[in-house]
Amino acid sequence: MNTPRDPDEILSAWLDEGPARLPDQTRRAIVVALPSVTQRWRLSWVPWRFPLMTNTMRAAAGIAIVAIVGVAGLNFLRPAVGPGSAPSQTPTPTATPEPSPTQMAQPSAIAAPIPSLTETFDSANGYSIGIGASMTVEKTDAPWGLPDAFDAIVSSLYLLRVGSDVIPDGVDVDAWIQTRLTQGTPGNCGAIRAELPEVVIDGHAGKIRDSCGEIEATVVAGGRAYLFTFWMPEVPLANGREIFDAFAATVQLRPEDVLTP
Amino acid sequence: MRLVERAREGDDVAFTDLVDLDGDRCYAIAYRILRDVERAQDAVQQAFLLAWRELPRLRDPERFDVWLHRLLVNACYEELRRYRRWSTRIRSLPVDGPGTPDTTLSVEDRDTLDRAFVRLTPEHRSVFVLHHHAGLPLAEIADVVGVPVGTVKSRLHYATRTLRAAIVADSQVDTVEARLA
Repeated sequence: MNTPRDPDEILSAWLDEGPARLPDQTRRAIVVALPSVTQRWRLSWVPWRFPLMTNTMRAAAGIAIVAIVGVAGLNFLRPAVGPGSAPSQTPTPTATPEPSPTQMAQPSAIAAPIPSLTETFDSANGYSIGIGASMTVEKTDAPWGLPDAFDAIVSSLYLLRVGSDVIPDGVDVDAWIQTRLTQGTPGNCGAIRAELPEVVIDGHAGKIRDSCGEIEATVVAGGRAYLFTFWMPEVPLANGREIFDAFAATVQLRPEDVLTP
Repeated sequence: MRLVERAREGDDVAFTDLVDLDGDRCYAIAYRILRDVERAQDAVQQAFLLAWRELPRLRDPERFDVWLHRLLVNACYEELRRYRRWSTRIRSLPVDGPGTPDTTLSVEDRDTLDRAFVRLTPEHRSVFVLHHHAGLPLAEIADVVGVPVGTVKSRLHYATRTLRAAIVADSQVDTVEARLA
């Protein structure tokens, strides 16, 4: 009865369970197998010179060496400034983080700038939305109901997933959306759609939920249900709703423009 | 990085040191993706042997960790594919017991999460484990699994939500049962 019911705490505890040390026999098996596995592209395999070289090959090799030395010399003498001399892209050393038992616990919230949504993304799902210049969009080509069946608008701090589908005739809209949401993006955080607060997007009525670290709106337009999920994966945003509203204000729902496969 | 460079030159002692350094972490990740100790051991072994074979092709030793994670995740995918092919649904438990048994986690919670987790695709599992267990930033996970960072976010969102939903649904059933009792 004293079991904690905070889902993230339970998830964290569950994820921490499990073996932490590679068994010695596996370690030994790897080491023992090394001599039987030949490394590829070892430079030591390349002979210092090929034993049989014709005069033509010698001449070609000589020309190649002169050309390489010449190009290298020119590059060396060229000044290393100016627009053409990009700094070498040395990847940053990757620190190996230790497994953290508190990863599921959210850090404290920060306030993010309200994005300037100056560009428009038109989706085959029958809507358009404003996006920021630095945001990326990943369009879905999967049918609704599968994990990746959403357009994803991505910034460094948050993710907005949008999907839509036709509401079949004769169904209870709340129940149908609830079922579809549960199927497509499970959980709905235990909320009953019919009991959620109202929201209006592009003049169309819908419902909104702000819980479980995400804001989710479902709206109906022209016999079509639209789902907008705003999620902050790494840092919770104190003004997440404000940012969501900024996106929502740019939305145009155009069910008539949906591309049918 | 010196160890990586030496191993790249064919020094198997240096590579053995790398196995000692990274083996536990790789095993912990593999187990959490696969939820099976024997398959996790196989995946780790595959990943390290492949790393040894291909190491001379790794141009930048500083990317060794990302590269090794990529090999490991691919080995886990291969294990999962093989597991599905020969699916016997037999669950193997850790022979040395759970590393850090958590007494606050009920048997029902564990069972619920185990069932929800195996329903996730390998791609969703790996992103979830690399982020929430290994603590890798999303950009690095994108590098490891070879997809855009937006896809990583999307997968992480789905996986987290699925697992959370399983717990919430389970607790709602508990509440209803408690009311009926």
